[in-house]
Amino acid sequence: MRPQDIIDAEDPEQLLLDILNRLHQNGPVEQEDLETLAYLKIFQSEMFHVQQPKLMYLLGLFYKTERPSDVRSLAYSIFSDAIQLETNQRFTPVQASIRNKILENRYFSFSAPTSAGKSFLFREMIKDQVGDIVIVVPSRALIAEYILAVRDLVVDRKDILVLQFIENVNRNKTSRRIFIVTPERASEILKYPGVFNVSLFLYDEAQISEEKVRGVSFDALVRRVERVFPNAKKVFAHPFVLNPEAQFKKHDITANVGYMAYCHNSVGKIFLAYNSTGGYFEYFSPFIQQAHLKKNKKRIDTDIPAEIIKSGGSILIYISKSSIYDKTFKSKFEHYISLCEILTNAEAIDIIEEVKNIIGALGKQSNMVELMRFGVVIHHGSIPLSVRLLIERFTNKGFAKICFATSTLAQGVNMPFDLVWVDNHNFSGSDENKTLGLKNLIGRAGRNTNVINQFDFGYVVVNNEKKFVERFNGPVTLSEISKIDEIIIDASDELAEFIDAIRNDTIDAEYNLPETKLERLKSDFANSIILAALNVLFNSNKIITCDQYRLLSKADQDLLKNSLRIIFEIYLGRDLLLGEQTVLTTSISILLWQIQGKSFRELLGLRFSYLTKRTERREIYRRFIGKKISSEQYRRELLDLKIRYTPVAMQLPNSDAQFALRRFKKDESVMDLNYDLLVYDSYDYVDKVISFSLSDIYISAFGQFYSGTGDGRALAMVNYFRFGTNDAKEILLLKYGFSFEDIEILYDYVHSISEFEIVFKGTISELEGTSVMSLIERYL
Amino acid sequence: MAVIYHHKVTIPELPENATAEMHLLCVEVEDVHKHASDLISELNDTSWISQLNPIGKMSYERTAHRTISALVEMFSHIESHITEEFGEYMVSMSATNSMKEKLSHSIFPLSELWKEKKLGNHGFDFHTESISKQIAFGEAKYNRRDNSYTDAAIQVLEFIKDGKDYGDAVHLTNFASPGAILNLQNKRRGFAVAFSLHSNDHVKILNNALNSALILELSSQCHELYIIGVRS
Repeated sequence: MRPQDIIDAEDPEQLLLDILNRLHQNGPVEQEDLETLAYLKIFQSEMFHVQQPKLMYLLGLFYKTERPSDVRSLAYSIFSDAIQLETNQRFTPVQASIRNKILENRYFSFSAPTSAGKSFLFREMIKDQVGDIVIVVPSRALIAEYILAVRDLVVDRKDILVLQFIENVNRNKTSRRIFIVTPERASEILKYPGVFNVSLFLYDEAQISEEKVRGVSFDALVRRVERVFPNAKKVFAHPFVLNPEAQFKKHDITANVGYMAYCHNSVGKIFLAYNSTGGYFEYFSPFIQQAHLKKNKKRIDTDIPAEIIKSGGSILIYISKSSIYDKTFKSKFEHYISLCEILTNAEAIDIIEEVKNIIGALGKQSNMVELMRFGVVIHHGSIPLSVRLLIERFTNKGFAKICFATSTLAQGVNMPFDLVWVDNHNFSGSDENKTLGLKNLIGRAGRNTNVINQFDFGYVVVNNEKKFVERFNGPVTLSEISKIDEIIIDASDELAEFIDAIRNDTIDAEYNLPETKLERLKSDFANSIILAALNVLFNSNKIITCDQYRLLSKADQDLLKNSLRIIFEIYLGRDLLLGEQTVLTTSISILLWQIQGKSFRELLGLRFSYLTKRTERREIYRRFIGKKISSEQYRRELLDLKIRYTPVAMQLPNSDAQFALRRFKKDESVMDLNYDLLVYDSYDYVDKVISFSLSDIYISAFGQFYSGTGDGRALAMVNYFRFGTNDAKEILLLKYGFSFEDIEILYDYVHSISEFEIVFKGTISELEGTSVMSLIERYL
Repeated sequence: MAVIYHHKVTIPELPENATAEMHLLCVEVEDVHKHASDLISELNDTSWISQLNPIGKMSYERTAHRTISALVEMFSHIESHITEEFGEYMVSMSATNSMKEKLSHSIFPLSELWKEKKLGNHGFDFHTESISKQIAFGEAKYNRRDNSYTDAAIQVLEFIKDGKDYGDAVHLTNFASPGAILNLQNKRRGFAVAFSLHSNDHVKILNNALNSALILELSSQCHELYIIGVRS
């Protein structure tokens, strides 16, 4: 319906009753009905209020109902009570149905909207499952979210080991294991067929199967898991896809199969078009034809986002990463940012301080931190994960009034807002992925509160309603053919070798790489290159520091860079392009810093000094202090000092990277370095380049070299790449799930550690009450 | 349920201006629990939740039995919106069943009975079709203490005034025979006044109803009229 027609409805009560009748029969599957309910709640509040208790029952939101006061609610309360009786939880019918089908079938694939509460359901099911569980999620952000929630759930079960990677540790005390991993890391499980008793593989956000590169890894994992753990239950979960059964067709799984596309919503949405010329909003409905026409919209005089901010709500603004990088988002949304007052809450300030500490922002101009003081946060994939988690905590605690975010946030992270503003209409991937991205994003609009008898709704603001409606109404289906089988092998395709190996079952279990690549990496030629690299990297069997690296002769530096490049090229089977080479070279310094155990903050400090020419700056300063130059001259000289060249970090290989773009402008003064940009770029080097693109390659190269030669330096390199350290005790502590930050605190309290158990010294009680203690307790 | 009394009003007994053939019926509800159970099944079997199979049959039935027993218990002791709704449902059900049993009416689907309706002025509670192909528009009233035929009759008269009977025609084409629809178009249709009856002397109550001014008025506005007391 047109918003105008709902607002001016002659018989709004009948409109509401008709919806209640449809809800009874079909459930809350029509988003348009939930939209109408939201309008009626605003414009016919008295009448709506009367029906709200019954509406909660009809929507199946049993956790926010009170004792039934009419016969229909009474009848529905039977469903509610029976679900409670059977599951011991106040699940919604959709949650209970998913649970039931998971129990009934060996294979179950389903889709459900963002607000369906599947995370809550999974966590509860994990608690009751017998045997080991592997949960596969696409991002480390999701792993972090899951880990926290699952650890909370099993806090009183010390025999359940919860880890964010696959390791067989704490064996003496463990009866069950829960691993939460990315598809790329999940293949480790294949090494333990007789060791782990995996009863459930849960593939969450399984639409990753549609991505070009990661889809291949994901589908390969699914197939290999099927061969090694044929009896384990497999569950595939997706948001909003129409054909979840495609996951089975992809892999020809036919027996014991169940699937379901749930499209039940629980939160209403009101759509607003923003008229940027006039600076006003209009109601529109994406569910009607020609939604964008003036006659179908209704202008409103209220500035709804501003009202939400003023009344303590929160809004999410989806913007492009480039507008964050060039800061243009600030001027565009200045009006709303200016409504946010400085925060005084102690907990909020603590979180901000923690962020500042991680990124070493003391004395530096961090736009991100400055905005946070006003409850304005920035969220995207190049923000260090630990900072992102703090930002999410900050937001979930209600401190953030505005969140500027890119697609990273929409990818499954659980953060609801009162209003979502789609300022950027660009989403990545195929048309279907774009629709999925958009739906996922606007799925964040409207919090599903636990308030009894309250129908919740949120707002969605769009700048281009025509484009929005087209995308919004696009279908989202999964391909029935796996990316493994779909791609036509082309010799130039980077993936070809990998796909070929999956098809021929020649992926090496130890290194998770094609055997052909591994063969090349252990050729005599490769070995001579690896040896050359080791000879430069190590000095008397000790790895060189970054300072030592800088002091190396140019010939030695080039030898190291070239060796590492050639190893990569051998792996790849082609020469690296200039752009790829530049990124690889830059990552080597960062890698050396990392190997020395530098924290991210220290790494940033070092990069900052290097890029802003600290030595030259000091020299200028010395002359100024010694009164050899005037303050004017001092400032001018600093302005004339330009930021050093550094290439924008990117995933490798990248066959389009003929050249690498500059991270900072050529004529930008060291005085003007955008510190946040340095943070984002450095994290991209650590995450996208070293961890995601390089680790596996060098681990296999050095690992095989060690196997062939027994050269301990090569083993050390494997450990540096895999764990970031070569210290045996640190490596074991990492395998137990502790972070470097935790290890720094507890290292000396460890009496002994092995894969069987950790024994702490009696002095460990000194840590009582600290956050590290809560992590240690499960191993005591 | 047992139809304990049926009397077709004879010509001498008919009110003066009556155009309707009139029937008086009294139904005794023997098993309230069954009515409650039928009602709950009717509601839940048509609900979206049943289609999702969220729970095992055993858990559902155990809980349903408990809830139905609580409803029956509540019905005998408490005056509330729930008991009133249930009472009205029982009156409707019993009335339609008695019309089917004694007068061979066909009953239109009960789910229609349970559509969400406006309070006060919602529309007829039930519909049947008689063997003479006339649709009977029924109104049921339940009251814990009173013989509520007056309320029911007032309601029917109001509906007639508002044209609700013809308003329902489009909807009724789904259930009624073409002949009945044709009759309706020619203003040939009946009404049923069903009410909770609280007296052992049901004949007296039904006769009181027959002679009440409102029923007299109704008898001249239709071709069939059914006065049905339901005792529980």
